[in-house]
Formats: sequence, C-alpha cells, structure tokens
Amino acid sequence: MPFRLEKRPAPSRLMLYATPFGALALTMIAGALVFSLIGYDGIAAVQQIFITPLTSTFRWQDLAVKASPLIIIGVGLAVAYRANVWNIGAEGQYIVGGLTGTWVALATHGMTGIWILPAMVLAGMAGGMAYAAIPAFFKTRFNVNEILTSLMLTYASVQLVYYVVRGPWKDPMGMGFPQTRVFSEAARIPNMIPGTIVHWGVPVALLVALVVWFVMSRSVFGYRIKVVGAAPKAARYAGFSTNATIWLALLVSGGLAGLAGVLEVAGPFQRMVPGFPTNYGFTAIIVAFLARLHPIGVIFAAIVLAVTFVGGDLAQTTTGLPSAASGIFQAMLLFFLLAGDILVRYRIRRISSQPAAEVRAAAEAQP
Amino acid sequence: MTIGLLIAVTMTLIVASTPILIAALGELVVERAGVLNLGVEGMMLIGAVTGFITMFTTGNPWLAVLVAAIAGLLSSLIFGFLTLSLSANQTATGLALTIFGTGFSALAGQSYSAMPVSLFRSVFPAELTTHPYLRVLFGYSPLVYFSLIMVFVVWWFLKRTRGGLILRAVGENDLSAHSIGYPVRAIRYGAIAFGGAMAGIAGACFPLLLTPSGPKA
Repeated sequence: MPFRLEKRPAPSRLMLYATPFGALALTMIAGALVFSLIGYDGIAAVQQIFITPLTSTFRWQDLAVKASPLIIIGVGLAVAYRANVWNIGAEGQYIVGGLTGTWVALATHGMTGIWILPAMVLAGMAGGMAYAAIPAFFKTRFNVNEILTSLMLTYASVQLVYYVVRGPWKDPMGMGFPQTRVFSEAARIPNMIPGTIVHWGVPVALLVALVVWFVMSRSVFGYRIKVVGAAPKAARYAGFSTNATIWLALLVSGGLAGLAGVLEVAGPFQRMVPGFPTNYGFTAIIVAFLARLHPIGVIFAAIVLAVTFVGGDLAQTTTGLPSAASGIFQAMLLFFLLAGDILVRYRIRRISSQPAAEVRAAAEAQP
Repeated sequence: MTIGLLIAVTMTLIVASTPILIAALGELVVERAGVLNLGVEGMMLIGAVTGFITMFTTGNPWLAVLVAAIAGLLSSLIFGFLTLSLSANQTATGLALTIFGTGFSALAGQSYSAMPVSLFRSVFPAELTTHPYLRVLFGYSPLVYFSLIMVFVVWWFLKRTRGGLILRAVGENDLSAHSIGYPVRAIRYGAIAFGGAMAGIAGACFPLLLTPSGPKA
C-alpha cells in the first residue's frame, strides 16, 4: 500500500469542519451512482432530493417547518453527546412531550386564554424530561447502559400513542378514526406570517439554538459538560460530579425533545394521531453528528436533513422514487461522515519507497 | 380440548419468539466481543427483504435463508469496516445501518408489495406434524430447530472452546488481549459478521415463518 495513516498530534480543526461538506458531496455522487445502477435516473433523483427543495419560497416554508423540530432535538442531543451521554431515545422523549402537551390541550378543551399554550409547552418539556429521567435514574443508580434503555423506551412510547388515540383520548365525534379531537383555538400554535405554513415553533427553534450555544460556550455549565465528556478523570479531580452531569445531559436533551414534540403536535398536527411518531428524534441524531455537536452547526445540519425529507417527497411524486430513498440518502450521509472522522484524527501519508535506506544514508553522513 | 389449546398456544409462542431468539443470539456474540451494533433492526430488514425476494423468485426456502444470511453478513461488514477499520462511533454507525436497512428494504421490496410466498414448513412426515400431540415437538419449520440448536452452539462456543474464551477476553479487555497477541480486530470482525448473518436469518423468519398472521416484517 503506497499510503498509510498517521496519527495527528491533535485533532485537525480543518478536517473537523470540512468532512461534513465532503460527506454531503460524496453522498450526492454515490447516491446518483447507486440509483442509476438500480434503474432510476440517478442524477435527477439527487437533483430532486437535494436541489429542488431549495428553489421556491413555498418549499422554504416547508423546510423551516421540518427543520425546526430537528434543530430543537438536535441541539439537546449535541449537549448530551458532548457530555458523552448517549441518549438515543430522543424520539421517545419527543413523543411523550407531544402526549403530555396533548393532555393539557384536551383537559382545557373549549377554554380560552393565553395561558393554555405556555402550559402545554411546560407540560411537553416536563414530559420529555420525565421520560429521559428513566434512563438517567438507571444509569446513575445501577450503571445501566443509557443507549439501550433510552432506545427501548422509544418503542414503549409509540405503543402509548396507539393506545391513547384508540382508547381514552379518542375523538368521540371522529367516526371511529384513531385520533384525538382537534385542539381548540387557544391550544394551537398560530402561524407567524399569515398565508404561510410557518408557525411560531420556527423562531423558537432558532432561539433555542442560540441560547444553548451561548450557555455551552460561555457558562460554567457548558464547560462542565464538555470536561466531563472529554476528560472524565480531569472532571472528577475538578470536583464535577459525573452523576449530576448524566442527569443534566439527559434532562436537557429530553426536555428539548419534549418541547419539539409539543410544538409539533400543537403546530402542524393540531391533534394527536397515530402518525405522530415521524422519526424526528432519530434523524436529529444524524443532525447532531453532522453539526459536530455545535449548536449553531445544528441549524445548518437540520436544514440539510429537512431538504432530504422535502426532496424525498418531491422525488416520489415526480420521478417515482419511493420516499424510502431519502432514508438511504440520510444513512449514506451518516456513513460517509463517520468514515470521514478518521481524517480528523489521522492524516494520510504517502510512504516513500526506501525510507529505511534514506535514514541509513543520513546516519552514515553524520560524523 | 384444553390440552389442544395449550399446545396451540405453546407452538405460537415458540414460533413468534424464533426471529428474536436468532437475532439476539447473534448480537450476544457481538456484545461479548465488546462491540455494540445497534444496526440489528436494519440487518433484519435487509435479511427479510432479500429472503422474501429469493423465496418469491426461486421458491426454495433453504436458498432464501442462505441469501438472507449473506445479505445480513454483508451489511454488517459496512458496520465492521466503519467501526473497526476507521474507528467510527459505534452508536452512530449502528443507527445509520438501521436507517439504511429501513430505506433499503422499502426500496427493494416496493415492487413485491402484497405478493404472497409460501411458508418454510416442517420437513417431518405429515403424520407427525399434524398429530394432535406430537406436533408440539415436530410441527415446526426448520428455522425453529435452527434457533434452538444455535442456543446450545453459542453457549458451547463461548463457554467450552478456546475460541470462545479468546472472544470473551477481547470483549472484557481489548488492550490486554491485544498485548497477549490476539488479533482483536479480526476477532471482532468475525463476531460482527456472525451477528449480521444471524440477524439476516432472523429477518428471513418474518416472510418464511410468521406471515400472514404474524407481525409485519
């Protein structure tokens, strides 16, 4: 092999921020090739999925609406992953946040008052935090792997949605459809700009990203999260409690996932339906990685992933590509990104043909 | 009649647990080697769709299981290459594999939607498989016996063989195993490949064992 990998003395910052773009470019190239090979128009598919969603103002609205839950969840996950706490169950916390928000909406059905939406938002965040508290408890108390508990709790929460929409919360006027009644006016998030689909969840998402960025880069809390994640032993010397950090990481990521859930149910959905779990919680994991766990990067990474969602729907109607194709593109993006990670820690060196001979010659030249 | 009911319930339980048992046995070996592959779901879906397509086109269930195992194994090697050769994050790579498998199976299977395949039936003579009592022993697909045999094979390998001891050593403490001179990466590749093949077979259980009344694949 003419090349070999050589460990860098310190991770390359250039590669850290260049590899996401490289991964995106490689995904488009590989995607075009793969889809051409299996009999689709590969270049058109890539164009539909990655370019067309950016070309009209209506699609920008759709992008903003789809990116905002990804931003909110992704920012929370970025915090948790910085602390080396692997919350994989953001989807479950998102769902439970949507459910607790729905509970407030149904309990206040028919009432008016500007306190209803804030109450729903608080309930949603509390729901997400409570659901994330389960893995936190088992992790800190019994050292149970939080990856497995948080992941499996997601499946439980999906069943919970199916249960409530068919059972206790079923719309009595819904002709037997498994869904809750439409929230009353006071429990729905209003549109920000009349005539568009952009709701107030969009600016909230941007605000969350900015606040978390500020907290992570400018506060002791953020510093502590980073130290515990990067150097657990140093953190223990500094007196930062590992358990407290695990709790904080899970509560922050769970609370934000819950916030995304309640904004989603009170915004685009306006009622709880069995189709509420839309994998935003899992996609947000890709977002957090693509953003290099940086809260501002999450905004851009969320837009990229939202593009693949919107583009996947477009490609389905125009080129007959199944919507599952966008999942393949998302997976390829993550594969390439993770593969590119090695360039952050290693550099590729060309191996010259006779390094040993040169060394010997240099040694003999010395007196 | 109650005995008949009991037998029916027992048989349903055993059949329904087969894919989970097979996939879990594979992942058990992977985790014993110190690797967490969260892509089991994706590998199962890849095994399910390739197994289904093979069954649909050839009608040979043995071939379908073999193809599903190979497809699962190949997809697990994506995970192995990224996490072992490129030392990528295991959690994220496993998740990517699950997303990939979900997309792949939906794409590959879309033209086969709602098509029927015959089940992988028992190979014992009909007198045994339809006998009111003996069918609780003989009335299963070969996949069910495979899953039960594999429980003992995996147990025996891990607890009673030198290879199993080395694999557990790699999982318990990879640095020590490496310094003694065991090929940690190769052993982990082997474990991941085994887990992938088992997940593929487990996926093939959905079209070959559980449809139409079982959980959807």
